[in-house]
Amino acid sequence: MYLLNPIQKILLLLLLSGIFSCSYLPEEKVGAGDLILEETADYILLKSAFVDVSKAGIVFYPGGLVDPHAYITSFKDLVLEDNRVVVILKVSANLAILNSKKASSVISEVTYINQWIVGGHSLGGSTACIDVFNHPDNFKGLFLLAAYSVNDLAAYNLPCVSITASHDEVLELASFNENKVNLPEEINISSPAELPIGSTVGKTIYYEIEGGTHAQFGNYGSQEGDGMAIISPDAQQLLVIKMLQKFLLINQL
Amino acid sequence: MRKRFLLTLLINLSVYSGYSQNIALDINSFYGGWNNELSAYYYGGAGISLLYEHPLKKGALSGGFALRTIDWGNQVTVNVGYNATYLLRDNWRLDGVSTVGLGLALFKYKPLLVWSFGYVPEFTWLRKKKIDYSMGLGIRYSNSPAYKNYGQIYQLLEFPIKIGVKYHLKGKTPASVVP
Repeated sequence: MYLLNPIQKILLLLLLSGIFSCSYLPEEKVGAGDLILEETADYILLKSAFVDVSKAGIVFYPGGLVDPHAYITSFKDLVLEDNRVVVILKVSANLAILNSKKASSVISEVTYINQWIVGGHSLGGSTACIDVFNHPDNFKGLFLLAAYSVNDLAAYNLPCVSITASHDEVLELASFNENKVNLPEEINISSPAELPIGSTVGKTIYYEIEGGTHAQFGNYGSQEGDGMAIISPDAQQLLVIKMLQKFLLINQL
Repeated sequence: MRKRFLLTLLINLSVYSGYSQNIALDINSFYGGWNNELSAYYYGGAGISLLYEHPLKKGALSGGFALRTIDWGNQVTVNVGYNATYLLRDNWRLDGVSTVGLGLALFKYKPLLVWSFGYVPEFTWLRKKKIDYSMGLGIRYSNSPAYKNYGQIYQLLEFPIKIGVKYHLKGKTPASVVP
């Protein structure tokens, strides 16, 4: 580096920035069926023809360097079965951490939905926690997909659910476990059927999907450093949706 | 007739004046006004560009790299352009910078083609030192044709604001730019 002149250093920085800013491309678009998509520069809104405005909307931070369109299929069933609005955020450089207030600002634009839960995948999950930490009144719940909070939310009176996958080799387990103290009281379950009957406000439900991987929470192919899945992306995403549906139901969201 | 025109053009292009040889480093901020889904004001991203400017009889040719964040994530383009000088004073200059860019949307395993063109009126403070400062506000169109297979928005019209420095490769601001 010391042998390079300033212009060569800038060129090298540009080259390295280019290399390290490559995102994962989503699967190609297929027919959306009954799903209605509204896309702006800030978000992709998914809804059905009959939106149930009494149900909480879901606002979602994508994983780091993952194109936000990779999550459309993941949430399709939740939208169509529950008539619920899902907003997938579009973030600068596909790095949610650069826009940690975006969920809070975007939900104010969707005025027909009165309550929201926020979630995210991987880096997006940690960013969702930052948004909750800074704007706790904006959200009625939190869900994390292969993610953890670095902000202390333990005393926040929210229902939380943390979903991981057993063959995820991207999520740092040591950090995940160390940071459990930042979320409300821990309850471990092995299937959505084991969820408590009543509200889980002030508790964090931990659920691990057997055979799933980090990348299969979205639809962007395989991820470098990830494990080998023994279930399909569809099966993993179905389990996520079933878990979320029940979690939202028991918390009347 | 055509040969004569080309010859005249080449002579004009090869005569030195106006600009010095510069390296221009610009930081850009893009503000969206239109895309193929809607017309609205929005923040479109930020970028950095590094361009070599070669003097011509009038204005300069420029070429280099630009890296920026954009609706589809990040992209890198090779930009070439022409800087036309409109006004030249003792310590400032007003140019119109027209550029075209061709490059790639940065996706792992499958980068996508992007192209763009734009025009930025640029004000340069000629300090008569090794480095001059510049700023500009313009308009830019970007398109990633293949991205329509993945997302809804693949064409953008934005208003870039840029600030930059011009580093003179040979000495300070050339005397020839001072009338």
